[in-house]
Amino acid sequence: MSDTPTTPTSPPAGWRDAWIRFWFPATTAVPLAICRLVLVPTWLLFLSVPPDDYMVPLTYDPGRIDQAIILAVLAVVPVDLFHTEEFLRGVWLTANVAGVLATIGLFTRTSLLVMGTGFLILIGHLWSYGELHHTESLYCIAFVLLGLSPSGRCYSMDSWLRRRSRRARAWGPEARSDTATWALRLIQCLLGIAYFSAGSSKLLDGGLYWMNGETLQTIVLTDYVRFGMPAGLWLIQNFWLCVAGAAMTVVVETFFFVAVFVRGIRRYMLAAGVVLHMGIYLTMAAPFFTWMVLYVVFVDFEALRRRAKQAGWASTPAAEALLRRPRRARGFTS
Amino acid sequence: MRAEERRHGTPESASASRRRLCAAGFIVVRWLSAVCNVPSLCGWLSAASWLLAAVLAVELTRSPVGFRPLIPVRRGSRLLLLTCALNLVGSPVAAVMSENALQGSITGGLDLLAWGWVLYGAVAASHWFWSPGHTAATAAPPRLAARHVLVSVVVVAVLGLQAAALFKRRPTWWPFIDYPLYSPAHTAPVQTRHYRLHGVTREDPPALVEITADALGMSWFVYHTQLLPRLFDRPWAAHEDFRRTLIESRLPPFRAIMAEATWYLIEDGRLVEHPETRTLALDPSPGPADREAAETSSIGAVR
Repeated sequence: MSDTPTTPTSPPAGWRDAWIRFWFPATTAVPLAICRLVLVPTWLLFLSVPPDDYMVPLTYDPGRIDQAIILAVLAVVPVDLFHTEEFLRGVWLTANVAGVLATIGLFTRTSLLVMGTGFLILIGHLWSYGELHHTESLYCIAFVLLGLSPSGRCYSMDSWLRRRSRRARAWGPEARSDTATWALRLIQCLLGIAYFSAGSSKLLDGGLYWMNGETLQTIVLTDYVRFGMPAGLWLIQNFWLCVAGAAMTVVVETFFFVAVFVRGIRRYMLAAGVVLHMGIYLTMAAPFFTWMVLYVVFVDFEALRRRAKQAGWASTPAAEALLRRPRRARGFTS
Repeated sequence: MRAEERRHGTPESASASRRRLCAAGFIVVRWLSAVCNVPSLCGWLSAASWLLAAVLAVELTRSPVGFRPLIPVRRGSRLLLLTCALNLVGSPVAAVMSENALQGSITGGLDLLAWGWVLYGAVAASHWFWSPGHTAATAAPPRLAARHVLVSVVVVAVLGLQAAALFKRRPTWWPFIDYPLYSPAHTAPVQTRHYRLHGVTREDPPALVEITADALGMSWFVYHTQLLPRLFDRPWAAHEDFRRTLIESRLPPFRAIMAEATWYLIEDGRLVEHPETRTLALDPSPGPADREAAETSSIGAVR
C-alpha cells in the first residue's frame, strides 16, 4: 500500500485533496490481495467456530431476536424457515464454499461478499439473544470491504484468467489502481475506532481509578476462576504489575488510532497491541486473535514487494557475474 | 555569536519551545483532570491546569505571533486560546456556583476540547517524534471521479454507522458495535464469585455429576452469567425451563441438584475461597417449607 499521509505540521491544500490522497492513492492491488490471502484462509482454518456452535440459538425463542441485520433478513426469509438447523447449516456451507473460492480467487468479489454476508448472518444470529462478543465483528466487515474492492486483481484465478484476455493490463501485480487502498484504510480506521472506544470507555466509566491495580486484579481474578489460566493467578498476586498493565492497556487502546495516520509509529503500536492481546489471552483466556490477524492491513506489502524485486534485480546478475570470475579475482587469497 | 545560538538556540526558538512545552503540559493536565475521579488527585490537577493556562496566556500576550507557531491549522490558535480562557474562567465559576447549568456546560465543553486536543496532540507529537522529515505528498492528487464519489459514500456510511453505534445504549447494529470492554473500575477488596452446578444421581451409591453448559446445550456465557446466578439466588423457585432443559439433555436422572457459589478473595497476596452450596427445588409447586429446606453450607479454604 502506497502511503501518503498528511501531516499536521504541513496542512493540505484542501479537504478534497487530502481526502483523495488519503483514500485513493494510485497503487497496485498487491496489499489487498495478500490481505485476502491471509484473512480468508486464517478464518476458515483457525478462527471460525464449528457449525454446531451456530445452532445453539435454535433453542431460544426467535421472538427475542434484536439485531437489526437479522430482523432485515427476517423481512425476506420467513422465521419458520430461518430458525431451522437446515437453513443455518445451508448458510454455513455456502459461506465456507465461498471462502474457499475467495482464497483461490475465483469470482473473488462475489465470493468474498457471499462469505462475508454469510458469516455476518450466522454470527449476528448468535448475538441476537442478549449475548454479545466483540472478536468477530471487524473481521466480518473486513470480508465485505475486501469484496467491494479489487482484491482479486492479482494472485488469483481471476487474474490468471483475465491476463489472457484483451484487458490484461488491468490485472496482475503490476497493474495500478486508485481504488486499491480505501478498503484497507477503512479497516485500519475501524480498528482505530474500536480500540479508542475500548480505551476511552475505560477512562470515561472507570476514570483514573481504572489504573489502581485492583481493577485489573478483579478482572483477571474473575476470568482465572472461570478458565484457570496459571499466568492469571501469577499476575493478580503482583499488584504493581497490575498497575503497569492497566496503564499500558489504557494508553495503547486510547492512542492506537495514531498508527492509522503516522506510519513511523506503526511497528511500535502493533507490537504493543500484540503484547496486549497475548497478555490478555495468557492471563484471561480471551482470544482476540482476529484483531491481531487484522494487523496485516497495516503492512505495506507493496513496498516489501518492490524492495524484494529491486534486491533480486540488483543482486542476481551481479552475483552471477561474481561467481563467473576466477576464484583469486573474487578476493580469495588462499 | 552563531556558534552560541547553535549551542543554546535562538531566543525565539527557546521561547517557541517553552510555549510548546507549556501548551502540551496544559492539554495533558486538563485532559487528566477531565477523566479524574480520584478525589485526592483531582484538586491538584485542576490547580495545575489553571496555573498552566495562566502561564500560557501570559506567553501568548508576550509573543507577537501568538500561538501560530504551535498550531498551523487555521483557527486552531483561537481554539487553544478559547480552551485557555474557558479553563481560567471555569474554575472560579465552579467554585462560586456548584452544580449549575452554566458550570456544567463550561466543564462539559472544556472536557470535550481537552479530548480533542489530546487526540490532535497525539498525532502531531507522533509525527514530530517518528516522521520528522515527512511532509505531505507534493504530487497533484488524482481528479475526483465518479468511482471516488461512490466509494466515498460507502466510507462515510461505514464510519458513520460505526461512530453512531458507539453512542447506542443497546448494541443492536451488529457488526457495528461499541467496545466498552471491562470499563467499570473496581476497588478493594479484590473479589469475585463463581458458580457451579452439580447433580446427585439416583443410582445406588449416588454419584455427583457436574452439569456443564455443554451438557445442557447452552451458550457458556448465558450459563455462567444468567442461568447459574438465577438458580443460586432463587433455589426455592420452580425453574420450569431449567427442568425441561435437564430432561431433554443426555444427563442421567438426578435425585437432587446443587448450585454452588464460591467467593474468591485476594487476602495478603493469597487467593482465598469461600464456597456456599444450595439445594435446588425442582418441584413445580414449591411451598414455604422448600425455602427453608434450601440447604446452606459455608466452608473456607486457602489456595
